[in-house]
This record gives sequence, structure tokens and C-alpha cells, in this order.
Amino acid sequence: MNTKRLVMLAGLGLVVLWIVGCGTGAIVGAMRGTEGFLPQPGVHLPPQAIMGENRGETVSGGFVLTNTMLSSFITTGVLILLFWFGAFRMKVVPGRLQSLLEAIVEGLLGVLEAILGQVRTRQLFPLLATIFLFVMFNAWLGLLPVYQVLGITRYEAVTLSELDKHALEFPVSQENAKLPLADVKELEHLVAERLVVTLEAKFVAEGMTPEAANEKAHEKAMKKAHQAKVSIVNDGHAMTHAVLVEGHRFGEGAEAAVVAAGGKIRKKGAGLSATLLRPAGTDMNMPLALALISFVFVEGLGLMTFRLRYLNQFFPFGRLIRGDVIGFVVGLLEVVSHFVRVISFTFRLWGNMTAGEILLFLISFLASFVAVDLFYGLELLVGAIQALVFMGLTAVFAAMAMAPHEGEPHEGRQAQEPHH
Amino acid sequence: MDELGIHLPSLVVYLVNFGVLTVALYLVGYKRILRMLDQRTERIKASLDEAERVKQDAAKAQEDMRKQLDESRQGVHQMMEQSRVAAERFREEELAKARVEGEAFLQRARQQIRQERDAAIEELRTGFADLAITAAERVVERSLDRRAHQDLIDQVLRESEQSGTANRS
Repeated sequence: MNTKRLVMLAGLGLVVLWIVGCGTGAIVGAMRGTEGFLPQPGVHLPPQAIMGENRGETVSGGFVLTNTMLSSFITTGVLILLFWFGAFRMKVVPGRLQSLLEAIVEGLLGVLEAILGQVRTRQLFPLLATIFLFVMFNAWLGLLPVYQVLGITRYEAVTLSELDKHALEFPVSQENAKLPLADVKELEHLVAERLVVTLEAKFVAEGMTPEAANEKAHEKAMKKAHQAKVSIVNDGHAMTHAVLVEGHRFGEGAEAAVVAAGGKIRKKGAGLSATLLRPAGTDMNMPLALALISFVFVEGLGLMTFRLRYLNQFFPFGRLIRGDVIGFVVGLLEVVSHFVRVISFTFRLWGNMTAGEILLFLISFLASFVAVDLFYGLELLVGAIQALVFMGLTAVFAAMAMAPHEGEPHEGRQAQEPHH
Repeated sequence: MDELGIHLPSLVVYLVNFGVLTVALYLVGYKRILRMLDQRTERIKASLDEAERVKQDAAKAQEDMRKQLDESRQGVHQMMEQSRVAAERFREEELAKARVEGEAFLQRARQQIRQERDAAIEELRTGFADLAITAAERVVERSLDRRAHQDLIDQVLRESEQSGTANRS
């Protein structure tokens, strides 16, 4: 089979997949009154815990391992391993991996030397290059399909109206009202009770005595009801409350609890309530941490270069004494502008990464196959650009911090060669 | 802040994680790669310098060779000129020598021819006299005084020589 025919077959396959994807997507599904191939994606801004009792819930309180944190650890590990294997035995005539790493390092050196000059670049390279690599690899690794597959599944169990229909004693006074947490606990208890009934009948049918069956059913039901995270959400539009039972995809407890609660599993695996892995850039803590590092780095360089005179640009009391009030206010505004950098750094990266993830989810939801591939390419580009922007801006701010300001001696440039 | 997910313990974890990554990459990656790049740059610079030096040496050697070639060519020209002059001189000498030798040879040949001719004439004259006497004796059938005959013959021959010379001139 020649290449031309192979290309034609591949193209045909792509077209077929695209048509099938559109046909099974949410748009066509909505027109036909059916559900799409993929579940409707849920957007969670804060990261979710993946371990501990609050697994699947957004983080709060003390330390907890989150899906974005795990993702950043994986990125860290991948980068260290990549550089370990690529630079372990450096050769004058490099292999493929060494060539790749050298190309990356040389490329970054080129970019940074244009901003900082050769000497400064060598001094500041480790931190700036790590910012670039960390941001880019976090974004790129987040595009791996495994990131959107592994996770904690939500089972949509039953609506409150159905609970009401089953004559369960549950306080359903206003369907449109958000229920207090106590009601959730009550629902969990209710689920456990229903589970006991189911399990007891099951154990008796298996030949156990009613007493033993009741005891074992209680023990197991309490455990399973606790394992199954029961929550109530208000979608706010459909005028219905949904009882959601969360658990592992194949969690027996969750599934049993749904059945026991009198509901039925409408859609097994109806969307992941929390993915096991999520790009670290979508967790605001990661961009914020990088922004703070960038801020401390830049201001630290300014202070190391000019000592306390660096603060003169922020608090120009000399101008105030000379009667230049505007100059003094401008200095104070400079303080604000430096702190605003932290916010802009944080929201730029977080916004781009989060928007990219949501875009991919939505496109996958609307047209299941192929169509999303274009956006994967776009996200590759966005990841690289954001990494470059973060690193480049930090380098520019660093160069500005080390450049002499008005009235400053030129000692900041002593170790620096002229800019290109 | 909670709705955005800002969480101090997570923030600290990211800060520590980034710090560890920076140090680790510096130790296992950047340091070695930058050193290798520097070494390679030095090596390339040294190679370029060496190549420049070799190029200059080659240019110099080429110049030297060109000069030597010019000198050689000039020497060859001189030698060829000298050879040509020598050959010319030799040719002329040999030609002169050959001419002298030829002249001498010609002279000798002429001399020899003349001698042989004279001898032949003398022999012929002698033979002719005897033959004439014999013929005359037969014609007159009488014996003449040998001396008188000889004088007579010589006279006839002289007259015939003179008449022959007169005819040739």
C-alpha cells in the first residue's frame, strides 16, 4: 500500500470520526433530544482533594493532597528525570535527548541574553529557565488524555421529588432552596437505613438468621454509607434538587447507596466529580506561588544591586522635601505597580490554563472526536507562550530592577555588558 | 479567596516544590549542560582559530610555493635560454667544423681526383703512344726510330690538348 493511499485512508478515517463525533456530541444530542456521548463537564475552580476523608471535595483547612498538586509533582519528577537522563553523561557529540535539552537551554539563553546580557543571564538562568520549563510542562502534561479519565465518579441518584414520591421522610419544603448541611447528614443516615433494609433482605436470602443478617447489614451499611459521599446540590435552573452520591467509579458502596436510597443510577459515570490529575496551572495557588517567587526574585535583585537606595524609587522623600509632591505620589504608585505584578502574573497564567481546560472539555462535550484535536494544538501553543511570557516578563522586571534609576549611580551595570 | 481556591498550605507546597525543582535541575541539568556548551564553544573557538591559523599557513605556503614556482620557472627559462644559446653555439661550431672538414675532405678528394686523373692521363698517354706506334707501324709498315716517334706523338698530343682546351673554353 503506497503512502498516498495510506494518507487518503487516514483522512477518510478522520472525516468519519469527525462526523461520528458531531453526531454523538451534545449539539446533535440536544436536537435529537438525547444525551451526548460524553457527560456534561463540570467546572471547578478550586482544586479537589484526592486523598483523605474529603476526597473529591474542594480544599479547605490544613494540608491535603490535591489533584493539581499531584500533577505538579509529576511535572517535577518528569523534568528531573528528563534532565537526569539527558545530562547524566554529557558527550561532545550529543545523543538525541542531550541534543533536545541543549537546544532548549541554548534557546532560553538566547532569549534571556537579549534581555539581560550574557553575564546576568548566566547568573539568573536557573530560576528563569525553571519557571519556563515548569509552566510549559505543567500545561503540556495536562493535555495527556489520562488527566481527564482517572478520577472520582459522581452517581446521579435520585431527585428529591422522587425521594418524596417514595414517601421517604425527608424535609423537602422548597425545591428551589439550598438545603443546609444538617439535611445532608440526615440524608446520609437515611441512605444508610435504606441500605440496611436492602442488605438485610439480601443476607436473609443467602440463608443467614434474621438477627445475624440485621447486625451484619447495619455494620456494612454504615460503612458503605460513610464511604459514599452523599451531597445535595441545587442546579438553580431546573427547579430541582439532585441527590448526588459520590464514590469511586466502581465503588460498591456508592452504587448500593443509590439503589438503597430508592433511586436508580441514571448514568453510570455521569461525569467525574474530581479528576485524579488536573493541570497545576488551573490551581490558582501554583501561578500565585510562581508570581510570588518572581516578585521576591525581582525585588531581591534590586535590593542586592542598589542596597537600600533601591527603595528611593518607591519612597522618594527627597522629592517631597523639594516640594515635588507629584513625584512622591508617583513613587508610591510604583509600589502599587510592583504588587500588581503579582496579581497580573497570577491571573494571566491561571486564566489561560483554566480557559484552555474548559475549552477542551466543552469541545469534547459538543463534538466527541477529532474536533478537539485542533484545540489540543492550540493549547500546546498557549502553554509554550504563557511559559515564555512568564519567564520573559520576570527577566524584563529583573533587568529593570538592576538598571539605574533617576539619580542612581550606575553600579547596577557594573557586571553587565551592553544590551544587544 | 476560598471560591478561587487560594489555600495557604497548597501555596507553601508549590513554593517548596518549585524550589526543589530549581535546585535539582541546576544540579542535574543546567550546570552540566552549560559547562558542556561552554566547553563546546571553547573547542569550536579553538578549532576556528586553528583553522584560521592553518588557513594563513596554507596561504603563506601557497605564496611561498608560488614564489618558488616563479623562481623555478625563471630558472628554467634561463636554463632553456642558456641551453638554446649553447646549442646554437654548438651547432655553429659543429657546422663550422663540419664545413672545414668537408672543405678539407673536398680538397683531399679533388686532390685525389686530380692525381688519379693525371695518373690516368699519363697512363692513357703512355698506352695511347704505344697504341699509336703500333698502329702507325702497321699503317706504314715500317720501323721508325722510336725516339722520333715519341717526339711526334707528344707533339700530336700537345696539339690535341690545345685544341681540346680551346674547344672547352
